[in-house]
Amino acid sequence: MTTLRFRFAKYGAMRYLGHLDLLRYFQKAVRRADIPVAYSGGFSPHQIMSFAMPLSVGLTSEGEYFDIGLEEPGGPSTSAPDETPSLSGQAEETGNSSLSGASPVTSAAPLLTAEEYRAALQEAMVDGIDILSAGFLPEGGKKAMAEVAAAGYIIYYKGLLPDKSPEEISSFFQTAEKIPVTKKTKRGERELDLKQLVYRFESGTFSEAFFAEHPFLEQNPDFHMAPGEPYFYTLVNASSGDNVRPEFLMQALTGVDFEADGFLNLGVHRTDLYSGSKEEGFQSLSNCLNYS
Amino acid sequence: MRKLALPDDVLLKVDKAARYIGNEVNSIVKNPAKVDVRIAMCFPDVYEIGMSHLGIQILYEMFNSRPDVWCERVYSPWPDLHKVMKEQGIGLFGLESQEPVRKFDFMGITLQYEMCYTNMLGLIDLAGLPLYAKERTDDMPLVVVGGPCTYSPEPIAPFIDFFYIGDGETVYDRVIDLYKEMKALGTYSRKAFLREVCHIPGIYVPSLYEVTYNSDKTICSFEPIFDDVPAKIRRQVVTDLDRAPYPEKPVVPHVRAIQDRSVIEVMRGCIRGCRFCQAGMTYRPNRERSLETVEKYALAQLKATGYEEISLSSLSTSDYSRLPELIDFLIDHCGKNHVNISLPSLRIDAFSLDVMSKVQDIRKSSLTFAAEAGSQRLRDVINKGITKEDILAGSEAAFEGGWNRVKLYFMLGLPTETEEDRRAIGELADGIAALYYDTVPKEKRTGRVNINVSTSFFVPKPFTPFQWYRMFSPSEYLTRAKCVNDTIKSSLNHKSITYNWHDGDISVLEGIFALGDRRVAPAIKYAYEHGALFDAWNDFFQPERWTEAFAATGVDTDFYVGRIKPFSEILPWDFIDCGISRKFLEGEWERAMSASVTRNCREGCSGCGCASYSAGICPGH
Repeated sequence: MTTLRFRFAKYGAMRYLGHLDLLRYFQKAVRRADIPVAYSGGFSPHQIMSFAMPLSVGLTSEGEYFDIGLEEPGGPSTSAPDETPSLSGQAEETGNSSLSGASPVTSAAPLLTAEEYRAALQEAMVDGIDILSAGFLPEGGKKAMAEVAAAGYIIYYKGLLPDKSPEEISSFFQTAEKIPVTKKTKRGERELDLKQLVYRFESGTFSEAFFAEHPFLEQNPDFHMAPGEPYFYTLVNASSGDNVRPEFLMQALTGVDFEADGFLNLGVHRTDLYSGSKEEGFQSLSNCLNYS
Repeated sequence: MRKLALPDDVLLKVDKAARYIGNEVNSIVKNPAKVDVRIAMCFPDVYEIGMSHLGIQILYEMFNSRPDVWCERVYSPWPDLHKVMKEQGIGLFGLESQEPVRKFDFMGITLQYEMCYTNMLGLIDLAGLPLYAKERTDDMPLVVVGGPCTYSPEPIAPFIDFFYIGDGETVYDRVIDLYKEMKALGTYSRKAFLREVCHIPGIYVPSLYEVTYNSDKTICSFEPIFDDVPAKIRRQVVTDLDRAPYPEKPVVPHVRAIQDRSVIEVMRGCIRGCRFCQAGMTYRPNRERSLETVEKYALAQLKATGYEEISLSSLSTSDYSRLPELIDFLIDHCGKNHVNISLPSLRIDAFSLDVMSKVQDIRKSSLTFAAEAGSQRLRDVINKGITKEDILAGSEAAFEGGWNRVKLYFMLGLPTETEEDRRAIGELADGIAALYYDTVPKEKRTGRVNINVSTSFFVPKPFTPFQWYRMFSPSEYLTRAKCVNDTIKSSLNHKSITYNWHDGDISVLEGIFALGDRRVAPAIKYAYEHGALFDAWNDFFQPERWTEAFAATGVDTDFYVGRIKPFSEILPWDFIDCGISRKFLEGEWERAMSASVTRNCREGCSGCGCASYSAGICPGH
């Protein structure tokens, strides 16, 4: 089966749309765009669609990804019936297991170019979601969800400003040997060393040029986002086991209890998702694609 | 970029913020400078419920097809946001423009069930309007109400500027044209407009009527204040559904709605004359959409929305005369395109079982019988045209076809009901369970048959033959439910039967709102002001609050729901002419008392009076 990967931006009002609602949004959008998405087999077939990584409600992003399987030209989509049908509608909705549930089929020539699919999907969008690019996954390529190793974020202050200056905060990160934090998981608490899981951390100041570079990072006059005000850029581990939330990183580096107000005072914008590793380097999830 | 009405910190704090951002697929944004009239179309319940309501989608389409009108949607903010909006003084806003409803020309509210009355007040309050219509000023939007609850408008009359009674597709254009004209001529004032709009058929302006009462609390007179104000308000009816507006591009909800699917209304009105059913009476005559029109909208909606499921809507889809052809069409189209067909509860027979086996997973679906009463005698009293043989034959065929789940719906508290009738509910359930074990051989069974029995308490409704009937106390209702429960528990197959019953308090309150008059309004206001909201939700409903509200405002609830009323009494809704004649309703009450059934509209006309609309199934047009 041919896999088509889309990169999209989420911003504006749509930043408040939750992940499950976003899945439903795209399931319908793909149909409105007449993209020949493949369906799983079984009694309640679902679209072969999987997302790289959920984005928390309220965050904006210019680096979101999802993959869809394309129906083979000349015939309806067929794949092996699910051996283990999902128990709940919710699980089916996410389509998480879809790629693995499909039988391997040799790649056939796609009907349209990736750019044509991108344009068609963009036509079906509402304000707040932009389809930035599309490409075909090379044969043997891993689906986005399995590939994600790191994520880039721009962080800014909304209301409250910490006592520490941006320079102090980033030099604390550079010089610390260990940054231990306690991560609460469903199974209990776990000690992590952020120094090992955060690959880059630096501060900068907003400028018109910076906003032009990141058009989906909205300049909200209510937040500390005027030119000259500070931002941070970080590249963190985003693998399923050791995923670092940038809000917790800021809390550890500044000593401010941002969690107390539900992180309302931090703005976060995701710039991209990466595959690879610290040792071998990271590449954007869009790098491996064929655009023809 | 549109600026959202709610600040970022509020949106991040409240549950499901996407309910409040608008911007949905197919939502309509216009330039406010280029429209003359702005309407906030409100559904007084949460987004997920309100977005599933077909009526709003139809009216949204209809209003917005006028270039001079911008109609936006509004749903009740969930209690978490309601609280924040009250505290921070954030006004109710239209989802599309995110602008305050206070600036709009009309605030239209659809009332689909009585238990949303406090939510309706919540919307009026959050919009920044006084709750009582008489306290509003000329710069405020006019509050207009439509929907099934308008057949019993009096308990909420003091809150409403005017009611629209009947199908919304008929005279709203005239209402808007009148408003525009008065604004343009500079003759508009709230008072002057209401005085004029009352001349449009179907419009009821409660402030133009005076009610007097007898010493026994009954209504003595219900009269217009001025000679030119109509004494009777005639329900409005769409005579040709094929020409009526219907959405080709319905708004697709952001948050998963109850109806997360395309819905096509195949007909309006019902041919059956169930005597307890208000919709069955007040939507007469039965009118069908042609097969071609239904197919056209089905294809258009699926294309414009991307839905993966489609459903048909009507009061009784089995009675749609072109159903077999429509189902063939849907199966053919949807099967190729990965669209599921979700069928509403069809009457169980060979045809529907065949259809259901084609479009549903038998293992997951269940059969539904709305038997409504346990004994044949009582089913005849309520004119429910289903017999025990129908139920058993349908069940047997279904069991043979592989189904093993059956849902049975009944009402308790129906006129003439005896203990024998209540026990018959348990006996019927037991009989169906026994039939399963007789029908399906052991080796073919997949576990036990699952019979799910539900009872609700009967609420008499205006414009039904049972409108004169009474209700009982919540404790009496529980005694009746216990009788059903005991019968089921002592039956042979009790392990295959589960039984649920509704809350008696909510039913009685619904009855007070359905049967009440203007004197009930202060209690609704009191309850809202003392925290009642989302009363349709069990989690929020507090019966004590209502007991207190009635006591504090001196409302004698037994007067409304605790007695059988004589034909001679003036009922609070008598001034509405909904097409059904009083003579027909009285005759139907008499026939009910003698357990005589009345034929349905297709079998022959029984002369209910709705033929005067010259539409649909009625003879002679």
